[in-house]
Amino acid sequence: MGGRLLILGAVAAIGATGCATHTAATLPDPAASTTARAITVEAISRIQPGRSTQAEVQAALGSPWRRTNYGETYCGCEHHDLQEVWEYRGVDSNGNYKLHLEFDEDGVAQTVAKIPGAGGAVRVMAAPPDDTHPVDGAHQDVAQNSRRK
Amino acid sequence: MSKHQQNRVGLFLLPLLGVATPLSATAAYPPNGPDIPEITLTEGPPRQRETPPPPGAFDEQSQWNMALVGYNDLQGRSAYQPIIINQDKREIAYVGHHAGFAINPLTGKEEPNGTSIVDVTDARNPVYLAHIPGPPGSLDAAGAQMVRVCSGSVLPKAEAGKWYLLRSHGNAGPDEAHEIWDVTDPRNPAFLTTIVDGLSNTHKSWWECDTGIAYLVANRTSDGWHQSGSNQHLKIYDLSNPAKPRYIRDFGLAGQQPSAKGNPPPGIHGPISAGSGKNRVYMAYGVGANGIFQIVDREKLLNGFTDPINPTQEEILAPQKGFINMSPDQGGHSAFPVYGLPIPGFQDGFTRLTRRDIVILVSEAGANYCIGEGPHLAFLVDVSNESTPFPISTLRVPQHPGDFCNKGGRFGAHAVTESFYPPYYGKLAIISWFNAGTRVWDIRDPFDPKPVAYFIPAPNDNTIASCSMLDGTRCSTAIQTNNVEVDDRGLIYSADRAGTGMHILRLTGLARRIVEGR
Repeated sequence: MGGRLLILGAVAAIGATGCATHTAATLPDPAASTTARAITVEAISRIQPGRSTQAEVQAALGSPWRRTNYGETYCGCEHHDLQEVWEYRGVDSNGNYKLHLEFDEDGVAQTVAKIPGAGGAVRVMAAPPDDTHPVDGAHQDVAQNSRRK
Repeated sequence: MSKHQQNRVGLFLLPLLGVATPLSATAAYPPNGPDIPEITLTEGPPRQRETPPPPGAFDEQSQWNMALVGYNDLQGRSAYQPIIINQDKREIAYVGHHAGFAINPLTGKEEPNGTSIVDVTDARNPVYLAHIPGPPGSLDAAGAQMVRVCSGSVLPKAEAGKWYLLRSHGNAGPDEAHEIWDVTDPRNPAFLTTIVDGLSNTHKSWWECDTGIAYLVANRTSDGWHQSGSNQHLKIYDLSNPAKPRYIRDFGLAGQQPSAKGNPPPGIHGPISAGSGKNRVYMAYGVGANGIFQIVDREKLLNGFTDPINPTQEEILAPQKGFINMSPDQGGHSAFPVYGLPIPGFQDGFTRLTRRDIVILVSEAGANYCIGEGPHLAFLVDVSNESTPFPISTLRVPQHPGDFCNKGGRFGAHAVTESFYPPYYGKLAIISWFNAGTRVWDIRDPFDPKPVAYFIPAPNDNTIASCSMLDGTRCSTAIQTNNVEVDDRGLIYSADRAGTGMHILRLTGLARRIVEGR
């Protein structure tokens, strides 16, 4: 199911019909990063999907742990989804999570989602987050934001 | 004896225990030489249809006739294209990345995504050697999706003993480039030169190592070329001496040249050259929609023009041997040729066309959760008569079992392996299928291909979630196998668009017996 952290076993011996899994090395902790800092619920609450710009997000949360841009806005290729993703790492009462933000072509945050690190429900935030009421949907995805691209 | 003949790239037998024992070879295949692997009939077990087992849960690794050998996290960067080079008896993986920023644990600094270099000689324990950063500054300008590598001992005018990396520099900005790095010491890559800058829309290029001809995908607005859909065409260079690039010409479909009028066709996604021996270049246009597949005469492409930047209509049509329009819901992402495939069932009684030349033609899925699009597929196209390419079968992964449209991320075809690896050539088609992982088909009878293997990695802590806003906002953490490639030991490398890393795989079971001929 989506949104779950897998704790994978160490490399298994490779047998004739062998099946191995690997431990994915977790990227550097934000505490060790010079460009990231701990995020708080209060800081997250300042992010308004549909309104907050990248500058406002950075002012509220600091530099992201990781940024990705798939680039298909620029190539002119047919694509359907937002291309730029910022991620922050955080910790709440349920453990580690990633705060996942997707920006439109104008640099406005349109999707804000809390991605649990240990199997909890993915929560898409149309409004400031509520730690106490995760909503489960099909396959642990949530459709709260009805905004269409 | 030519230079490339003196410097054959080693060919390895299919590994018996997962990691190969090298054997010398006498042939040099594209991109290192003009030879094409010969395909013999009825090798391997009788063609049979095994029913693929259903994959496990979305958060589980699933495999069928494939096994995981090794893994590297690629620093969590969104990966596009891997290529694996037998470099001075070491196996080195070079991986291009989409735009982004992440921390390089080797330096402790945040670096714009560029090119990962990983020593996979011991496939069970890959060692990350270096990250060549992409362009600094805006995220819009970062990334280096494409990578090719040639030996200076194979390139006609390069320094023997050196190794050269060709890559795009930026994939989403107004001032991109293609550039060359010296990767003779892969732990300490050194910038060599910029081939061409001022570009936009760089993408998946091809470099003939034995001739030095490079087919670079990009656009430059000031050149006046026209495209619809994907905004890119070819800029062809002679990189036989990588330190001194020599421009040859620009090329695309008729209607894209600067003097053309009217509604232009879609831009190219990536070419694959079969080299000087076959004298053909296969070009896929359109990426994920309104696709066009084109067969091009290489010699005419490289020599048949007067104005390199603005060819006439006659000049741009002259190299075209044939083309096919795909249905509007399918695009041309990559097109890999398979020559001389002996067709089971055609061998007795018939006196001609018992062997066929085919092309594995792949579209690209483009929507998370399948919302807003139909299935994106791969096709086997009979190009025996080049002027009339004709699709003869379809490679597809059904939505069920697996419920892939609800798994998250993209579900559908993306890219075929581009290695002329003899044990697999004409037997297997290995294609990345986004959230359905690496998919393998038995194509010994291209009129009736059969699925024989798959591998779907589990998402991990580095996996980037995928969201969609088209039908209410949904997000899931799903793997996205972007590109797959084969090394000269038969190991298969799967690179993940969602930052999950690179998985090194080997064949087992029926898939392995097919290539071992038992």
